[in-house]
Amino acid sequence: MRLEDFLLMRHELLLTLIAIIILIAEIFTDDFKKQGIRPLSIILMAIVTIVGFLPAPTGTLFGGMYQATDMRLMMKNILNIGALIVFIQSASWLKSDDNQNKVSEFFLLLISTLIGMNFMISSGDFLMFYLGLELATIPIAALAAYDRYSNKSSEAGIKLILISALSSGILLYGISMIYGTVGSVYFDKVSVAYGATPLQIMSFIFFFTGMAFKISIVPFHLWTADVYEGAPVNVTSYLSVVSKGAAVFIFSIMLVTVFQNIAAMWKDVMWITAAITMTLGNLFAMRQNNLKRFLAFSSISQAGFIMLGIIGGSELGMAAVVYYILVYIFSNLGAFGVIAAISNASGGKENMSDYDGLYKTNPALSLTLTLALFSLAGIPPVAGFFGKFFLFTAVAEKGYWWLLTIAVLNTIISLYYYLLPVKAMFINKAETSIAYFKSDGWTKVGLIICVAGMVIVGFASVIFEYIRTLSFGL
Amino acid sequence: MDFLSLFVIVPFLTVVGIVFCKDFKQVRLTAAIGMTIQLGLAVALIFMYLAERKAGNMAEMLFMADYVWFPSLNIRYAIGVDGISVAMIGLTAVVVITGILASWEVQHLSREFFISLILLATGVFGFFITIDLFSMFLFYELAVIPMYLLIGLWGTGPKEYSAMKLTLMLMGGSALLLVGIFGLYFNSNPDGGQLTFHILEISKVHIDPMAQRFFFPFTFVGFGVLGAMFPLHTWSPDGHSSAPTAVSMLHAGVLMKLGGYGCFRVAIFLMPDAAHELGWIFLILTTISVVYGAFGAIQQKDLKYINAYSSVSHCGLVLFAILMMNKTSMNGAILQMISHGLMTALFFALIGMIYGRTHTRLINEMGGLMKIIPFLGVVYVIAGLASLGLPGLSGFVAEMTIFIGSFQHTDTFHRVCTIVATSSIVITAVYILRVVGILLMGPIKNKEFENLGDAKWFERLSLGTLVVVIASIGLAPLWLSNMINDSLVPIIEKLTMNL
Amino acid sequence: MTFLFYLLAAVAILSALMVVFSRSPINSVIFLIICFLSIAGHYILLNAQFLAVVHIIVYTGAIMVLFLFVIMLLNLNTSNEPHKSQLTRITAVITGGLLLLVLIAATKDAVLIQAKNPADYNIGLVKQIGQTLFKQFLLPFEISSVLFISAMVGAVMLGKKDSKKN
Repeated sequence: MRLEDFLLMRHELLLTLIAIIILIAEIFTDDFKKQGIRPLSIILMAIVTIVGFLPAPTGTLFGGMYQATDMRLMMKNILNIGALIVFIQSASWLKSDDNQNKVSEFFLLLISTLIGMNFMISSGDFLMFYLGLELATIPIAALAAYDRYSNKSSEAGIKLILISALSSGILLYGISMIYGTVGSVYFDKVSVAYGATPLQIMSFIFFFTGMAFKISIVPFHLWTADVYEGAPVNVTSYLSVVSKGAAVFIFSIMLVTVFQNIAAMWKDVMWITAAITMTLGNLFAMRQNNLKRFLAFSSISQAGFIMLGIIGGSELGMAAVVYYILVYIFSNLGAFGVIAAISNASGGKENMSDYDGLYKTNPALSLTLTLALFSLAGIPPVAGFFGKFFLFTAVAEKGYWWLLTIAVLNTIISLYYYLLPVKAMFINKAETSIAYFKSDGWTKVGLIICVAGMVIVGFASVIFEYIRTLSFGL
Repeated sequence: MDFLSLFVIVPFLTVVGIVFCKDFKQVRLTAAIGMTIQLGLAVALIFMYLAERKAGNMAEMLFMADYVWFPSLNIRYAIGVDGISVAMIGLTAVVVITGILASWEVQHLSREFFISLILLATGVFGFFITIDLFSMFLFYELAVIPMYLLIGLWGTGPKEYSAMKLTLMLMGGSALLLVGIFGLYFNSNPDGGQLTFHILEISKVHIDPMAQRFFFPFTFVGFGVLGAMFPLHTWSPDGHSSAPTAVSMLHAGVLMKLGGYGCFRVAIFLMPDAAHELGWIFLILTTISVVYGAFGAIQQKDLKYINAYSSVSHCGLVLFAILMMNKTSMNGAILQMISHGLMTALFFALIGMIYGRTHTRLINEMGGLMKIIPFLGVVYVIAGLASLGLPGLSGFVAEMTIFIGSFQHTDTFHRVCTIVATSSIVITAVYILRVVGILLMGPIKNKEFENLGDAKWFERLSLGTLVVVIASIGLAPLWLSNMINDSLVPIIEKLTMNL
Repeated sequence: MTFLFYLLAAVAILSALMVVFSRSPINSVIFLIICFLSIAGHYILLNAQFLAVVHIIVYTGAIMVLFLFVIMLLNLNTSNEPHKSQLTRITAVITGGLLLLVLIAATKDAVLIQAKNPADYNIGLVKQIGQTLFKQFLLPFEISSVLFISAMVGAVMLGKKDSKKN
């Protein structure tokens, strides 16, 4: 291995490096200076994000176990952006009395999950994939229980760890069957040797189920709402955007590479689960009052929409998925950012009815949330419209007209509930609405990035076209 | 910089200007100035268009511009106008400026109100100038979504319910439309070349009839929802009655026309085979719309409901005429869109002004208003007469053309439909005269109404503009119908080509 | 050899069943230890000495003793299973049985793959494993170290004393 080979792994190595820096900083600072860790972590993460975009060589390492292609680098960059925004948005929350003695742990755990995701995305065999997946989920469980004195937070932590253990078990069972029938864990060897023997189909079903838990596809979604509600808002936003995005990325890569021989089969499975996921996620979301639960169900139905891009297995579909995740990061983090800001300022108000008349008191936050919800619903001129449009194009391209019809009707259902918070903020009148408050600098920066992302990513066609040039397919 | 894009840029700049205004007077002034410029542009466009045509430029679309947006999918921002879009742009410009004048005294959150209103107008203008299905769809949704806030925030009555119902039904229509657009896109190049969203390029292709049969209903229903086609019209009475004055004007006057225009430009023009084959289903539905709307209007006691149902009837007539698919009836359909747009805007403006004075919209509680507020009363009578098709006003020209065109079909089915639809004229006369009788004539029912003031200057300006335009179209319709006729030629060719 | 295999397999399955069926948690844990031991026996049969030893040390030794401690500390020696409704039980049995059926059916027709190095008896030795781990599988090995440190950080964070609250 030559020295420049390490350049291929620069995302992971840099993240490990900043994790070590934060660890050392934590050891060598006293309580008074610990406040400096917040800006330090954010700045380090910003540097990593920017460095990630610099051009770099591509190739494979460790005999195909680690793969760095342009597309995978792009995926990592997208996740880095998401993580950076979450870092920025958490800054003011971490300043509070309850949290300020565990600031560096928060950043360390998030960075280690990010390392896991990056390795997972770059994986070229099932062992790496599995390790990356574990590294990406286990620390999140500790973070979900971050707010130790709240029962709900502890509940979220324990639920998440149990569910991820269960799903990992199912996934491993599937992987062991694949190894048993093929005799290799390397993706390139498996994809060639994979046939449609009963055991292999069984192994795929186990694999699919395991991944379905991670992406929270119906009927494996039941943990989502409780965990999202219980966990602190910033952890929830990370979980719903970055974690989910990473799982979707590797899932789509594996479907079109490892499982390409049984594409006809997984397409049928995806068709049905996508339709059910969209519809049920939407129907549940309509009934929620707690905004975190609301966004949890909305993220389930978004997962259904994202699957639309994968179903076709085409290059366009893959590009649409990657693009949509990028859009989704900005939109969902915008929504969560506003909810977090309001929750911190008002002492934990997270219900939709608390938002009555918010526009009168906090117009900027209301407009940001409205824009984010419109983007999630797919309404022009924000980026969500373009994202959904490309996903639908990918479905239509392969001639799944009925699925497309189900999907477009689901966008209308989703529009209904995305308008409910808008209605609360703008139209409903309240005796006592949340008083005006001034957000601190970090929150503002985080939200401005989100809004800029929502506007620019859609109109600037270069971004989509760039992803399109990288994309891969069956 | 091309001329047509100004129609999107000017409203956008107006919105930006409003954001920086200090108080409500500045806001409304900025809005009025911006939209007056827009009206000037529209008038200039009409003259430029006529001059081009006179100079012998017989291209299908004029002032075209084409910018590639997403090259890999061949999504473009393509614009261009023919006589029909020019007429619609003119209509929109008139209705928008009168709408702004009619809401001169909206003080509650005025900044947000005018921004939403102008955003809506931006969507409509964009829709009429674009000839690329993607941008068309984008502008369509852009025009619908501000409606939610406009009705929900500034409306009256059960406004939240109406706003939600209207938004969801219209967006539902757009969702179906999206399926239709994808159907057109993926069938736009059967030889395996580059696919396209460009309307003119698709119109050169003969789309596989099987695909047409599948996607025509999606497209037609998608636009038909906005055109208030029975049984998908139910958003219209609730929405219009809850909306504030200017919004009702814009919505009934312009936004509903998007439906008719889209059915015409996209559904029928691009999928003629299916239109011939499946048109009869929609013809029945639109005939029902025409008659049902008219009967619905007789039943109602609320002024806005009456006008909303009459809009269903009139817009049904637009779709009805489009489905007759000959040159005369289609010409009538476009004229009807313009005429109905103007007079319904006039109606809603009047109703808003009357309501602002009497604080009731129930016709039974009012009476003898002609003596108290003569200006509004006279204009109401003019609007009513235009609506029931009095010669000399625009309504007559439009309905006459439609029915002449419809009678050119000699088969029983079309004849029956035409005769049934024609009966709506009589019913229209009944409800219009009934309202005029109760509302304006007779003794003054409520003593409190005796010292109501008549129209103020901005109201007079708003109403006067509309009346002048209605009368001038009614008196000199030929230039307009010639302009439309020229543009109909390629469309009719396409319709008859594959028969 | 074959006899030993069947014997160990029978012991493993029986003890695994006893884990589920025995009423007292302590008995369950003891049966689980037996189950793990018999699986370790399988490893020896497959020439994987190192794996067998690690399996005994980690699972049977460390984890099971931890389990016993927890059970003792929580005083769980009497059975207090939460009551499940009859419907849940029946559904669970049916779905589980169906899954078993499908799995058996799927394995029945499975094509047996050839063992890679049937004659190499050194493959399970510590030296061989060390070589593989630090050459071919170096990267996963290093990642697992990151995994452990993050798990430790998480555990420390959850157990950390709150300086302000006390």
